[in-house]
Amino acid sequence: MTTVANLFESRSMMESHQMDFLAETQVVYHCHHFNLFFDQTIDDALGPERGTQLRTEAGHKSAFHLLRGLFRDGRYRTPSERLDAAQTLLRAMGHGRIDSMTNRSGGNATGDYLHYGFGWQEKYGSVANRSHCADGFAAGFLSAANELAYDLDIGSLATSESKCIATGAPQCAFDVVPSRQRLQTSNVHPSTAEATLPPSFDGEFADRIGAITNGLRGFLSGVQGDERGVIDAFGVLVTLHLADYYNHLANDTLRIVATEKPHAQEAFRALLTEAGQVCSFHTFGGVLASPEWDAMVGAPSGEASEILVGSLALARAFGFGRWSLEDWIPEKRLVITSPGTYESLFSRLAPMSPHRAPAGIFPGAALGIMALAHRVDWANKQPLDQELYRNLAMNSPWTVEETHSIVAGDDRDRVVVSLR
Amino acid sequence: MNDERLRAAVATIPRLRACAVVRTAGGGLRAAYQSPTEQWSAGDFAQLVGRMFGDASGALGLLGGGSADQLLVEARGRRVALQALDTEHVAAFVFDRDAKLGMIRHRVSGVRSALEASLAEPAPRVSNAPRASNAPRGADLLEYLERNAADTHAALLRVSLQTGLPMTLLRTPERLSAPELESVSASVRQILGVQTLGLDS
Repeated sequence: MTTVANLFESRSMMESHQMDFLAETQVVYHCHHFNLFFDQTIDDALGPERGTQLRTEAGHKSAFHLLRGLFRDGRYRTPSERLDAAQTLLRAMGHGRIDSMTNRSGGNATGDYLHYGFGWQEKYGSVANRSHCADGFAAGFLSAANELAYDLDIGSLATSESKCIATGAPQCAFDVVPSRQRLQTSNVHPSTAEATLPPSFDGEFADRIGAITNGLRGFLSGVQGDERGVIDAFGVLVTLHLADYYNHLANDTLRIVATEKPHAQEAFRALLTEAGQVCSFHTFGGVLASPEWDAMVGAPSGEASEILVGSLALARAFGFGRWSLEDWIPEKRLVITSPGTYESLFSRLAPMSPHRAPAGIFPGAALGIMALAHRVDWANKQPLDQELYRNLAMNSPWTVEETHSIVAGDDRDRVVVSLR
Repeated sequence: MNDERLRAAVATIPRLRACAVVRTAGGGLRAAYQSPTEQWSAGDFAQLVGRMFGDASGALGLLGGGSADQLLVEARGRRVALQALDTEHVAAFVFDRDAKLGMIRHRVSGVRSALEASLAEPAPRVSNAPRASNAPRGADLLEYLERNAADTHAALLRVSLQTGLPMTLLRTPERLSAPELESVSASVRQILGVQTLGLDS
């Protein structure tokens, strides 16, 4: 009998750098606002068809690494045990529910409450139409799960989503077929992270940030998907996600954009930063305004330093890295540093390429944190809705610069938010 | 490659003051970008860059090390990086003195492919192609998008990413050619999730 507790036994943390691993695969928490914006950016760059293909491949590569690590200890031996474990894990991570009817030559699968399709319906379903399927990650996950269930090499199977609730279908459906894909993987492993990252350090408010981080981590350790495979917390749909999914996608897409649409690189980089802002506003902001936060830390009083401290603790607890406050001048300047983030670690380890994706989450979130600290009326519980986000983004007086990066050989990542 | 394309590729690089793309043979200037504080002659600079790059490649050739790929020059007030592009061109990047060397290498490497792609383009993309007579003007299209898009502040970036057109061109939509206008129109429809636009008639 597969239990979530069994599956989560393989979780580990690199505490010095606030990075998390599941079956030796780096994981982070992200919400549906960020995930949808990130995938949308990929589709904008490549078009719906090719974007779906690349998203599926990224899911395939990152999930293969995860599940291979999970099955390594021999606890799950038969195809049915392995498929059951994979589906239970996907549900526990908040990605929804899949039911697989496959053999080693492929087959069919259905999906319910899959994160991307369900999240898209939740966010945009009442105001927009969508014509292409949303669940590339789940499709890639299905390929990896079936390959490992039947001891096949990566790339032996390919999965496509034929129906999706985001396009109006009542249930998602997938076709799994034999394939000869050649998938190049480059994954972060805990031992390589240890060997690669520079020494850790702390900044201002270190004790407060550390204490809240520990509380958050304790809370998150008990968070898992419900019977639908949905984590509905903090006012958002939360996922425990594979960092390499985002990293593979950002790097692979940048390589294509640089080759085929070189003049759109500026837009691609800016939209990755925008995704970081989306994350900090909706996820950090959502948590800070939530009843869960109120119970754990106390509702924000409106003091800006509270928001900074809380946001940095959230970034740490979500596995983004050991984000620290180097400097802060209210309204004018914010400097955040970290001995690596999940993005820069991947880029540092990736084979030398001129197309390394830029940091997106780190500078974008820093801009968003500045806005949360100084432009939200926390004392009067101002709603953190889309209209406020649009106003903040369009009228931001700040700009952000990445001044240091471990990718460039520095001993830290560092971003500076300052007045334009 | 022209000045506009170069600006689109490099203008957002932090601490960059200027950039010039230069023919290695003869030091002719292909394109230049200068921030408003930089008043020197880009043509004269190009001549010197061509000569400096040629001399460095010659010296490396004597050592059996092939031609130069990237050179860094540190001087009072400036740091200059020369990056070989295709076989005929080199780009010179002029940074503030306090720009970090690691970040300079990182940024220069990151923009290299965009510059090489611009050099490979057969002709400048700023075209004189006629505007489709019944198509809405570019400014109207983008204003419509701004009024109706869910994420207004990100909408123009999404158009750039979907169409491959540089932000500098989209910010001056009156310069869009007819094919570019058609591409922007398709992008606007896609972002708004509609088959037709209210201003198509």
